[in-house]
Amino acid sequence: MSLTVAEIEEAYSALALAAKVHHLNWVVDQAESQIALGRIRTGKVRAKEVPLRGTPEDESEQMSKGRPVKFTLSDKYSPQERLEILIQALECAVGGVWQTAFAVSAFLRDNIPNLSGIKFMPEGISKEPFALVDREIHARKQAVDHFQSVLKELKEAI
Amino acid sequence: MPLRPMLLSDIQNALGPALIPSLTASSAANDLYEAYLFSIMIEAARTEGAIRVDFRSRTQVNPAVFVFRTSPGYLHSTAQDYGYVEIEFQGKPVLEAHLGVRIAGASSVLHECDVCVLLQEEANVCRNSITSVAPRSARVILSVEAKFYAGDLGLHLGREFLGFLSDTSIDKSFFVVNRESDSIEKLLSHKGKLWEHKISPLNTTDVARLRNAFQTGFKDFRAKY
Repeated sequence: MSLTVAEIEEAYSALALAAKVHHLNWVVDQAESQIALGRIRTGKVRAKEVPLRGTPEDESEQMSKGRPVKFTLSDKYSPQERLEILIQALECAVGGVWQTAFAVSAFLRDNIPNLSGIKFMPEGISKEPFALVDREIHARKQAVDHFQSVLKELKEAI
Repeated sequence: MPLRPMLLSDIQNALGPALIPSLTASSAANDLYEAYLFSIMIEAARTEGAIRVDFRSRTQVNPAVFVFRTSPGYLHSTAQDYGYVEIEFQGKPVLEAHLGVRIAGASSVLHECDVCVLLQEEANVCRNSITSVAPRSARVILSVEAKFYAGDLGLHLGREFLGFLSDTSIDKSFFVVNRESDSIEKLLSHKGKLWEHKISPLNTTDVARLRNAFQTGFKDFRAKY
C-alpha cells in the first residue's frame, strides 16, 4: 500500500525543514520553482476554446477554428511527484556535491605532485572563500551513503 | 509500503553529517562544478594528444596550493595566485585553460566564461599589460557555461547563453548542466547550439560524450592553426 497524501505531505515538510536547517534553502527553492512551473508538455487544444485576439499569428488558428491546435501546456505535479522532486534535489545537493568534490580533488592530486591544498577564492569580498580538504571529503563518505540509503527507503515507500 | 515510524527523523538526522559545511551554499556547488568541468576539459586535451599539460599559477609551476577563481575576474588579476593549465599540441600555439575569467565580446561588453581555453599569446597580452585588458572572444578556442542545479533550470539561463553567443565569436561554446532541462535543451537544439546534460561524476556515458565534444574542439583547433 502506498503512502496517503497526508503522509506524503508530512514527509515533504520534514525534508524541506531539514534542508533549511542545514542552509540548503536554495535546494528547496529550486525544487519548489520546478513544482510551481509544473510538467510542461505540448498538447492539442480546440482553438475555439481559446479567445482569439485577431493578431496575424492567430489567423491560421481562425482558419482551423474548431480543430485541435498544438499548445504548450503545464500539468500540476501530484503530491508523490512533488516529494520525488524534493528527494531528487536533496540527492543532488548531498551526493552530487560530494561526488563532484571527490572528483575534483582526485583530479588535482593525480596531476600536481606535492599538492597540499585546493582553494576557491573570489577576487573581492563578494563571496566566501572555501577549500576542498581531502580528509573532510573522505570522512563523509559513509554519512553520504547512509543519507542516500534512507532517502532511497523513502522513495520506495512513496 | 507504509512509512517506517522513525524514517523521517532518520533522514533529518542523517543530513547534517553528510554535508561538507563549506559546500552547502548554492554558489559553492556551482564553483565546484566549474572546477569539475575544467578537469574534463584538461582530460580531453590529453586524450587528443597534447604533448604538454602543465598546472601552474602566475608565480609557480605545479603550485602546492591550487587556487580556483570563484567570482568573474580578470585574467591578469593578482588578487590571488590563481591556478590555470598550459596545454601544448605539437607544432601549435600554446593554449591556456582558465576558470571564471571575463572576456570581451564584439560589442566590447565583458562576459564571464566559467571555463575557457584561449591562446596563450592572448593571455600574455592581458597579463603583461599595464592597464586592465580582457581577452578577445575571437582568441578563445573553447568555453563552457556551467550550471549546477538541484531543480529544473529556468529558461532565462538558456536565453542568457544565447545572448552570450550572439556577442562572442568563440570557436566552440558549450552549455553544460548536471541534470536534464527540457526547455533549455529544446531551445538550444532549435538554435543549433552546443549543450550537454546530466554531466556528473557517476554518469560516465554522458561525461564521455562531453569529453569527446571537448576533444573535437581541440581537434578543430589543431586543424585550424
